[in-house]
Amino acid sequence: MQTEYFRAMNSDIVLVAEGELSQVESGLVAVQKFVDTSEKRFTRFSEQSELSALNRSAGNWFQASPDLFQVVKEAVFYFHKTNGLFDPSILPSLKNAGYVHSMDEIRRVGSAPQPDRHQSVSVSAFDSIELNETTSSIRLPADLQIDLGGIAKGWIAERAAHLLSQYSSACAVNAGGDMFLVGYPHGQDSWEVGLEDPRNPQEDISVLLLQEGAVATSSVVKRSWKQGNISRHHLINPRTGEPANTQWLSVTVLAPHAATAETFAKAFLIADEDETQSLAEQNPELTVLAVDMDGNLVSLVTPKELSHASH
Amino acid sequence: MKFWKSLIRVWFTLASLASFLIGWAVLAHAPKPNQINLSDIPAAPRLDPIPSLDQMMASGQSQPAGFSQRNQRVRVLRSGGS
Repeated sequence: MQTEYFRAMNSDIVLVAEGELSQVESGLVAVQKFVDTSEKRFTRFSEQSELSALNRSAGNWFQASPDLFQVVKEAVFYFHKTNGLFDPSILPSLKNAGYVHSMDEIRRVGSAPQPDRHQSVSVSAFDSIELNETTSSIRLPADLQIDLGGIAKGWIAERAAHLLSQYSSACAVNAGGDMFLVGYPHGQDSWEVGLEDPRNPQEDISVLLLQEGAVATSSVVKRSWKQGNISRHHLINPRTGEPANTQWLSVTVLAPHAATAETFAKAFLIADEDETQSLAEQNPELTVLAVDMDGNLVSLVTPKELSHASH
Repeated sequence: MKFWKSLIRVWFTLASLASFLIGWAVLAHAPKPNQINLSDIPAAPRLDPIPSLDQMMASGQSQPAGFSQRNQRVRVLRSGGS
């Protein structure tokens, strides 16, 4: 089993692959190139990215690459599936909360102060985006700005894993908590994945034995900062436009696709009690685990194919 | 020419002699090393004999105690959130 670590998308990326050595090495190189290209396309922290160009074009039709079109289309789909709790149009609220620069830069120089005048929050709903499948074009309403951070990362992880699987018999791609698994390690019938303890990130709160597919964790601990004296994190509640006031430190979702796992992890973390119940009833196929403020691991949606190997 | 050769020989001789005397004087005034009494050195601890391979096989141990890394696994894949 070969392992490659590198940093991209302000996250630690881990590639794991099993197979013939030279083939796997070629695969690891190909995946790194793919991740690099995708990051340049989807980042909101570069004016040169395709996403920034799309945001600048708000009000007009924008000719998108197939990749950007696909991710925006999926984002609209999951906006509906999560009853609007996953909402990429919270970008102005994110900036108001001080998340103006990349997390690596915020850790280095601190967050932006609270603006005297808040940036106007998008008035149009996210699903008012127009998509033209035939021409692969997107039109954002004039007052809408989007951030595809999480869903793009999950999408990249899944695509990267499928790419790596062409060079290996079994592989996994972990992009800062968004993970996709293909095949099984030699002689095993599951992947062993540690579930990080949000209160003590060096330790695992549990070990999950997972089948092929995706796992994603959203946490209020990882991307958090101080704006003046106020503690902030990056998970904005679209109902309030403020960092979510949640009862969970982290939520982990297992699903067949990375975009599903990523968007529902975010939605369950933000959701209040009633919304959690609705989401759970509407999506019984998911496995959803959460860690509360006391560090207890609880199941929000009944696990189906999950084993807790240890604590 | 002969004069210069003689002069160089004298110079080398004097320089060598002076260097030797300076070295002698420096060493003569250097602090003396501590003297150690061999009987003051504590005896080496007695170690248990290494178990034979047969003994280890019989007890199910694959490695001598102290070298075992069983149950210590570093998990490469961890999900901790973004």
